[in-house]
Amino acid sequence: MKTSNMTLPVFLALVLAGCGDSTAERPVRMAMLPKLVGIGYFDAAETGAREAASELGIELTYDGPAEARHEDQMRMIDGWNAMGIDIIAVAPNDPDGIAATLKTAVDSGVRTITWDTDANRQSSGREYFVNQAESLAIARGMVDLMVRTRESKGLPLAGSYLIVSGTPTAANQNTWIRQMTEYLQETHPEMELLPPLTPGEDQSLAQEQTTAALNAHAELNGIWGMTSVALPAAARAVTDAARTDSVCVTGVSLPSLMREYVQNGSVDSFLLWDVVDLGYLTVHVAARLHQKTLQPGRTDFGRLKNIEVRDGEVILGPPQIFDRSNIDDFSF
Amino acid sequence: MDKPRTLSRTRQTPAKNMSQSVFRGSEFFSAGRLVPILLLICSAGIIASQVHRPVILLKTWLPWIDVGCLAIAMTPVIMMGGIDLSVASQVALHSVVFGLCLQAGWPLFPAISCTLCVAVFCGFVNGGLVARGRPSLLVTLATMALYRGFAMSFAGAEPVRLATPVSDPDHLPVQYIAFAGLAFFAWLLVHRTTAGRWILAVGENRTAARISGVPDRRLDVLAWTTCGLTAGLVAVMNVLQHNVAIPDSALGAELQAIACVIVGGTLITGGRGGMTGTLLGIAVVSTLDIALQFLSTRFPLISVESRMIVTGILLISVAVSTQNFAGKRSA
Repeated sequence: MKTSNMTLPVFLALVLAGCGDSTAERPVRMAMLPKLVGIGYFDAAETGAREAASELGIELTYDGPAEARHEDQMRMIDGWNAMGIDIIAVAPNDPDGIAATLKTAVDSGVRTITWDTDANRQSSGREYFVNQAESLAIARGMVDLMVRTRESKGLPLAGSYLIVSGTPTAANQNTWIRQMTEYLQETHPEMELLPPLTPGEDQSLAQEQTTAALNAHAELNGIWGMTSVALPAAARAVTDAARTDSVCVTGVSLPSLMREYVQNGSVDSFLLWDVVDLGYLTVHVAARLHQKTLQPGRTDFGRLKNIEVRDGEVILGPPQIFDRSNIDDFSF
Repeated sequence: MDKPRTLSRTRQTPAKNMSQSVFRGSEFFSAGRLVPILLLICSAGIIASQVHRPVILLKTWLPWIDVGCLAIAMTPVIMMGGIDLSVASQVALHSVVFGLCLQAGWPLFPAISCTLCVAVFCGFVNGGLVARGRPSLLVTLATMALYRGFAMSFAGAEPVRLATPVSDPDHLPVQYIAFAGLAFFAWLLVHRTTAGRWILAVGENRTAARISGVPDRRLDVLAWTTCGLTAGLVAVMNVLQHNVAIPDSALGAELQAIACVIVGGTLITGGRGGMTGTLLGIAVVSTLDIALQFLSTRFPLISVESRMIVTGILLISVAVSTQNFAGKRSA
């Protein structure tokens, strides 16, 4: 019974620590839920979110599941709701999976927004979606970068191309894939898409699957990496296979994860939005929503100027293109 | 466990030994339960001190109801010294089957019947292979991948979304009632029937049980099929609640269910344990998880990473104390 002798005081301390708070005047409490924690993308968003929270005096909890699972997100939303958190901002792993849970939060009076990825607006009842960039701009941007890269290297466009996505049900990635397919049919029907790979948010798995695809398709022209981990994984796989001359790689990822590949020439350029700003904007939008001063039109949020607010949507701005000339200017 | 001694003791007085096992399994306030019960009280205290909307608290446990149902079905399996790693994959597969039936325009009742038939069949495959003497760890490890693969390919790697919602998302009591009913019947089965005594006897010493006339193979089929059927029920409740069947859902739920059973004091090697313990285990694991989340909003140090460490350490200490104690008593 050694364990219980040791554990009893520890538990009592925990309980006492939990009992402290019952004062009437307390700051606005906000909980921000990323798809998962422990990857560079959502760490960068946390940096921006904390910056905004300290500017605005908001008590911010930034917490999420260790793996991109919507069941864990449901649990956390219900928990925060029961605790009486004022604002919840969610980047859902499945737009429908968490909708009912979000609805319960909305119905019990929590101000609810989504960021990075939207939830089903009707069934979730979320108030605003903080959108990093319009999906069409990103989808077309990725196609344009691929075309530009191949043309600058003097390679033909016709042939097969591969998409390395995230989880099979990821809303952003699936929207981009659909829009890229449509855009390719309109502008470059000679570029053929192979069925997308869905390794989840797992860099080593993405690299494994890309290597297998490189071996299976000797004629492959290019690869789009659609998540922050899929793009470096694809770049690594192409570099390791010594196919950087014939296979062009682009997509969306973080500058910090891609610096190596841009500098060694295996990746010419790629897209993303400023993730730190996305986290920063989300907290500002949440605060504005809590004060009930958020209206459609163009407005400033802290250090971000002239941001477009639409009906139920706030847009950070056009995507940022990263290449050798500017990649060192970004810290995330 | 000390094999030769158990064997000889079973040979001497099989009937008496079985009744002792049952008595031990249902003993609630034994010393080995001290750590889990303390943990439960403290976690509940933390939650009570932080809660603002108590009504929502019921919903907070809803995802744990799924895990709890699986843990209940898993208990007889583990009491027999086996394991079922495929339950979470089965939940995903049965959700997709149910979702596709509804999407095809089937009425509710035939869709549920079809799903449960698939569920029984999937469980029967596990049970049949185990009854033929294959190790359950290997069998269910294989079917874990197999059933998940079926789920992904049937659904086309996309969630099966129901165009017309079949239910209101807030039919809260149904899942709790289903859970309570399942727990009650499982308790009756394990603690008040001959089959329950047989399960313990098989877990303690399969050869001895078989020699004394216990139909161990039929029990295997029954136990694993029940796991499948329960996974089917969980899947139906899930789809009805969310109006969507997600092929990569319930990842890792099998391990959470096993953790609940182990924390409840059922020996992972079989032969000791019971339903009361599993219910306690479900309460401890779920309450602890919720309490840690509540604490983490006050103390940023309790991040997800460190929370996993804390959960791990606490569960190990609970498991070690209960498992160790059970072992000592059997010697």
